[in-house]
Amino acid sequence: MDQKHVLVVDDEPQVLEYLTSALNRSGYITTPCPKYEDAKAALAAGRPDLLLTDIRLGPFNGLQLAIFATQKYPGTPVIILTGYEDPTLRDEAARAGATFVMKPVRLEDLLAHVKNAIP
Amino acid sequence: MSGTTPTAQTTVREPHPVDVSERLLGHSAAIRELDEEIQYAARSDAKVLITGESGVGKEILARLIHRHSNRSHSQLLAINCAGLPDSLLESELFGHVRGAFTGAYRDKVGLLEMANRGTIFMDEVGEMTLRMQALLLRFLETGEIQRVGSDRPQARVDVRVIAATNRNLTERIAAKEFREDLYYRLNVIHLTVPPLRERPEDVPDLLDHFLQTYAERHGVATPKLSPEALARLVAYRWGGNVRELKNFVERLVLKSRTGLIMPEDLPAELLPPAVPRPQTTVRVAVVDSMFDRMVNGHESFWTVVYEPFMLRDLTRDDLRAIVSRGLEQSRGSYRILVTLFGMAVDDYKRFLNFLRKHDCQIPFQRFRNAPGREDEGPMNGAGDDSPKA
Repeated sequence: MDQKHVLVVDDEPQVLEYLTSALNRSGYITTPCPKYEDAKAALAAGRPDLLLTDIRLGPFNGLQLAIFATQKYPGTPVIILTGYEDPTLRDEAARAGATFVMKPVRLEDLLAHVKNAIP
Repeated sequence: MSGTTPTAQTTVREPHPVDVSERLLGHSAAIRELDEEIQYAARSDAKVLITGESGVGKEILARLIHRHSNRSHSQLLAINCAGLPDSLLESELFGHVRGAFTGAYRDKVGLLEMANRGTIFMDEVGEMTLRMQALLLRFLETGEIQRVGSDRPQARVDVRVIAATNRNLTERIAAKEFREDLYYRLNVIHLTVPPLRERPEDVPDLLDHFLQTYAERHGVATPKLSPEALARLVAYRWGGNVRELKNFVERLVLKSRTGLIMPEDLPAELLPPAVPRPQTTVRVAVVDSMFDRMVNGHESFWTVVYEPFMLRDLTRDDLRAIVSRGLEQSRGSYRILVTLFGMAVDDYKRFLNFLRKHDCQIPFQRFRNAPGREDEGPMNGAGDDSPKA
């Protein structure tokens, strides 16, 4: 089976490192991105099978990245990690075709979401 | 718009025809990328926060997003949140019920209700007081409208909010002047418009567009720019951004006689190009004229200066120049300045709050040592007795 490629975006270096390592150990290829602009470039450079992004990316919102990814590259699954509940954002994420995953999340639960998005 | 007070009318405006176009003007990479982001934002229904210096055209972005969105069949209403007292801003946004305050003779529908199924553009959102921020946050969470003077919500509305600011909101959050939760609510799609000086390659496109538009409007032949004149305009700093360029081109069109604009037809601040450009470009003729209208023509500051400033036809540097000039005459007294500028004595606090809010309150001390100054008590200056913002 081909290895799946996950674009991981988080502006906190330690979280980014943790997520990419965990995904690598589970057999995924990862591209880590600390910034919104880097993530846009990475999406253009090689279309990933999944975009996994935190909601806070400096001045940007992970939902903006989801909107960009799903419009420019339709069919790209997106998981947004968020630490706070916001029904309006959840609706927006659903409209963009993205899945909200609340933090804190157990690693096995997150991996289950990833596997569900890219079986 | 019926039912609004004269002051509020200055804050709610229709787009200027000159500004209406299908896409952003310019071909720089930054503008092309913004154009693309606008399309994505338009197809989504998420809230948008537009940042950028004064005069870059943040409202144009809002209008383009609305026009390309599935809300385009409904209205886009715009309001400038700066310079309005809380009570007026609240009434403008949420409406009021009859008897809510003196002068509220009938119920009034607010802009958020009027914009139902459409879009509201809230400019200078960073200037809102913490109280207004709390009201806006509650609206964003619930979509409910509670008119001023009412004890319960009147309606639930569906309005897309596009906000804009020239402030650094993260700094305002750190200073506890802006609510972080409101910032995250508003800042779902973040668009930044770079200043014109960072994209000089856009200047020729903007010049072409405004030369043609203003020539048509004034019924004259479209003037041409000589290559030397164009080079100087491209090299100019444009501290007031596109708004400054637009106003400059209109004057150029009206003054043009030969149809070909040479470097010598350009104002002094554009000559010569090799000299470092001044940080401030005060338009002396404009300042002179406004000063004369108030001091000799006894017109009010609120009409002569405040309105064009809020409509962005006047820069902060212009305003500072007017205030400095007035303080020279009043020898540093803001109280005398209020009278000199045709305002009621009671307008003193409002005037100072306005200046402070826009960083245009000039220290009065240096005007106090002017020769022949009459002694003034401490209450005559804007020092100890100035109202706290």
